[in-house]
Order: sequence, then C-alpha cells, then structure tokens
Amino acid sequence: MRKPILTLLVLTAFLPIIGFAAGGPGPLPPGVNWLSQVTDQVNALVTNNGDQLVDLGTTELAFFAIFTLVGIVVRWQLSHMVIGFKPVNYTIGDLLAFFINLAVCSLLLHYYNNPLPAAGISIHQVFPALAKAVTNILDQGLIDGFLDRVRAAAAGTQPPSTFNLVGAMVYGTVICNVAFMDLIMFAVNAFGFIALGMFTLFGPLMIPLFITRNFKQKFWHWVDGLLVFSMFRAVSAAVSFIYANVLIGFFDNTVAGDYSLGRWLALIPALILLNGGFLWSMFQVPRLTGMIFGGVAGQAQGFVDTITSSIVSIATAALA
Amino acid sequence: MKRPFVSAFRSSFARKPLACKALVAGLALALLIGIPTCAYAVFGLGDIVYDPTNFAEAVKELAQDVQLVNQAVQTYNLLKSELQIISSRPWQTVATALGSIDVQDLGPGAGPVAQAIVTAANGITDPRAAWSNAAMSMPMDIVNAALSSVLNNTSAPAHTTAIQMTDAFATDALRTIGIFRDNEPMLTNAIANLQTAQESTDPDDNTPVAQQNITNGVLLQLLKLQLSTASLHAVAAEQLAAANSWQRNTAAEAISIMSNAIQSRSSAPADYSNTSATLTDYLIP
Repeated sequence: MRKPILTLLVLTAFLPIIGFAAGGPGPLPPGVNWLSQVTDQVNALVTNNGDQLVDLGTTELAFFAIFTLVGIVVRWQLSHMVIGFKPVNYTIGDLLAFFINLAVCSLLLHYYNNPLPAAGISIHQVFPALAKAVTNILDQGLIDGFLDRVRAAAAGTQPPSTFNLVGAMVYGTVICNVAFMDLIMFAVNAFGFIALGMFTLFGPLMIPLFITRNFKQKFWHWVDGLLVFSMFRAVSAAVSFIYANVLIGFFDNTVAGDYSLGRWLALIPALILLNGGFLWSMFQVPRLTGMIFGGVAGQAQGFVDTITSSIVSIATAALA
Repeated sequence: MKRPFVSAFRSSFARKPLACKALVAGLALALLIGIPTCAYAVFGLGDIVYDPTNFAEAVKELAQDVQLVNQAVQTYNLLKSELQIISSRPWQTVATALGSIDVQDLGPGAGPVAQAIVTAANGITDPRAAWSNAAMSMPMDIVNAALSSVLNNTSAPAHTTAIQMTDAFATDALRTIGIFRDNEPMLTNAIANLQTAQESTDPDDNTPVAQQNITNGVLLQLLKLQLSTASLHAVAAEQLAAANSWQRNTAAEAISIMSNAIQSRSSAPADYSNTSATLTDYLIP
C-alpha cells in the first residue's frame, strides 16, 4: 500500500517539470523550397539570354578565326625573310591545328545549348549532369528530414514570457542557431547554382578564346570553373550527408521532442558545437571543391597543349 | 490591590496631620449639631423624651458619612498622586521627518529641467510644467493621425494611452509629494508641540481635561497624517497602475507577436524545406 503512495509522490514531484516541457509544434505545413526559387531565376537568366550569347560567341569566333588565320599567313611570310639559299617549308601543321581548334570551337558553340547527338544533353550540361549523377548516389532525402527537424525546432521552441531575460536569450540563441542551419544549407548550394549559372551564361564568350594564343588560358579557366561549380553540389551533398546525419541524431536522440527553454539551455553548448562544426565544414565546400576538382582543368589544358604542339611538330617534320 | 491605596491614604494623612485634625474637629461639631433636640410631649410641658434607638440610628448615619468623606478624600489624593506619579518620562519617541531633496544631489551640471522636477517634488514649482518639460513630447496631431490609420491595429494606441496615463499620474505624484513636503514643517512642529505637552509635568497640563485635550490633539493629528498618507498611497497606487499598464501592454504585445508568428507559420509557411529534389535533379536547361 505504501509503494503506490510513494510512487505517486515521486510522480507528483516531477509534474512541474513535465508542465514546463514544450510539447513540440505539432504537425507543420510544408515549407518552401527556396533553393528552387534560386534555380528558377538561374534558368530564366540562362534561357532568356543563352542563345543570344551563343550568337555573340559565334561572331567572336569568326573574328578571332580571321585574325588567327592572318597571323598564320603573316608568320609564313615572315619565315621567308631569311638570308641564304635553304628553302623554307610552310608549316601546314599550324593551319591544321587552327582548323581543328576552329572546328572544336564551332561544335562547342553549336551544341552549347542544343543536345549532343545520342547524348541528350548539351555542352553546358555535361559537367552538371556528371555532378547530378554523383549526387544521386548519395541519399538526399535525409536533407529534407534534416530541414524538417530544423523547422520543428524553430516552430516548437517554447516562447519566453515578456520579462524573462534568460528565456529570451535562450530563445534567441536557439532561433539563431537553427536559422544558421538553414542558412548554411541554403547559401552554399545557392551560391554553387548561381555561380554555375554565371559560368554557363558566359560560356559562349569564353569558347572562342580557345583558338587564340594569348587568351587560351581564359578558356581553360572557364572550363575549370564550370567543372568546379558543377561539382559543388556533389561535394556539398557529401559534406551535408555527414553532418545532416549527425544533426538528425542530435534532434532525434538528444532534443527528443523537448523544445522547452530549460532543455535548450542545457543543450546550447552542444548545439553551438555541432552547428559551428557544420557551418565551418559547409563553408569549406568551395575550397574543398577547388582542391578536388580545381586542378583538372589545368591538367587538361596542359594535355591539350601537348597534343597541339605534337601535331604542329609532326606537321613541321613532314614538311621539312 | 487595595494596599497601595490604603498606604497612600495613610501616608497622605501622615504627611498632613493638621488637615487630619481639622477634619476630626469638623466631624465632632457636626455630631453635636446633629444630636436630636428635646422633644416635648403632647400632655406634659418640658418633658424630655429620650429615644435610644433613634439616637443610635443617628450615630450610625454619622459614622457612615464620615466614612464616605474619608473615601472621597482618599480617592482625590489617589487621583492627584496618579496624575503626577510619572514625573519623568523614561521613553523616547523618534520619527524620521521627510526632508527636501537637495538640488545638489542631482550632480554637477544638472540642467534646469531636472532642477524643476526636484523643486516640484519639494513643493516649490509647478509640477505639471516640470514634468511636461522633462518628458519627451509627442506631436499629437501626427500621432493621432497615425493611430487612427496605420497604427490602428498595433500596440501603439495602448502605449499612447499608457504614456498619457503616466503623464497624469506622474504630475499628480509630484504635486502630492510636493504638498506633503511643503506641509512637513507644520506637521513636525505640531508633533513637537504635542510631545511637549504630553511630556509636561506642569499641574495645569496634567489635569484630566488638559490631558484629554492633548489626546484629542494627537488623535486629530493622526487623522490628518493618515489623510496625507492616504494621498501618498493613492499616488503610489497610480504609479503602480501606470507601470502595470506598461507591463501589461508589453506582455500583451509579446504574446500577440508570438501568436501571430504561430498563426503565420501555419497559414503562410516560409521555412526552408523540401530541397532535396532540387539538389539532386537540377540541371540548367
């Protein structure tokens, strides 16, 4: 008989704690995919102006082609200005390399916005499609789960009373932290998509530079950037895969549905720790992407330069 | 309980033997005069009728009268000694009088507006002008226009009312405090006079009527002091009401904001979510 009474007394002692616990926000309506708002605008920018820039790039290509051709002819003429009787060979390889580069640039411009035969994607979609394939490997559904938990924390945290200074500070800290979680997830990916849109938009202006001697570097920089920002989402998805799982575990097991200010006050150090690590890691995504994918374009440039110079050398030797 | 009275009586007679002798002589004379005269019988001239019973009755009444007079003298002496028994007051009554606020306490460089507030609290200057000059003014023509239009459904009307209520109550408080301070010297003087009379050992001040007058004066002073205290309580309550209105309005505004946020989150959600499809499938067209 005494045991039930003691149990009841113990339970009664815990009643105020239960009373102070916030019960959570209840079912929340679906939120807004702000990232798609950004991508819609990127699409609008590229779609509305892409073809015009391709036309501009074609004109630019013709301009550079003429000047490059004139340069080759001038070099030929200058090469006759020798003292002696040794005959001078014309370096047809230069001309061949020029036509190859011209053909490559023309193809790149032509298929820049049009689907490649048998591939179904255009030139500017090649790297993003690669990144998409990589990203699809990772389970991106957990990102939505993570954002839902962030949303629940923002909506369910117990609001403080008017003159509760400590409560207001805790509430502000929690709201700032969960807002930063959203900010990180949004800002990094949105920046990647916006940068990709910029590189895609101005690609037709960079492609003709491939046939020039002095501005070819800019073309490779563009390729480098297009690759880096295409792979941005893949690296971001990989980093967020790690941290989203950690933070989901934090919300599910540590917060465990108790959004009271007292609970949050106890969890603020852990919240700041995890959020700080998440923020630092996510903001390292650009650097990380550059470290992983930034050198590829430079190596490709060196590779192509080697092939071009080999072709010229072979042609020169054949004509010698 | 009787012993002090008896001893007081004895000591009184012991101290004054002449008065005691005069009293006994008077009583003897009265006894002689009070002895019944000769009664003449109806049928015998000059016959004296002596009635021992009647004589004994007369003597008994006389003894009772003597006892009554003795008791009256005893009571008189007792009252007289009680009125003068406390010749020195061993207690001390102290009270802290409300002084004036020193303008110097405002600190160096205090402007005339702050000085006006202090002098109003001291009961010297006009409290309304002092408070009006010290408080931040509101352009009521612009404020009223905004309150009836854009700010209609906000906390601004309630806060405006609270501001005006605070102005009125603050002015009332300054006025009441000023009057109280102004009357403080009179109050102190009256209390001092009452205390002097109450502590006096002068027989004129210690008659029952004089003591009753002093008591009446103290009671009247207490009533007037209570009236002043009630006025001070009233202005303090006004200040609390004004402060409560601010706290109440602020709390109501905070709760409204919270409720509005909850309702807004439900009716027009804007939280970031459902982004995975964009992250995986997005391809610039």
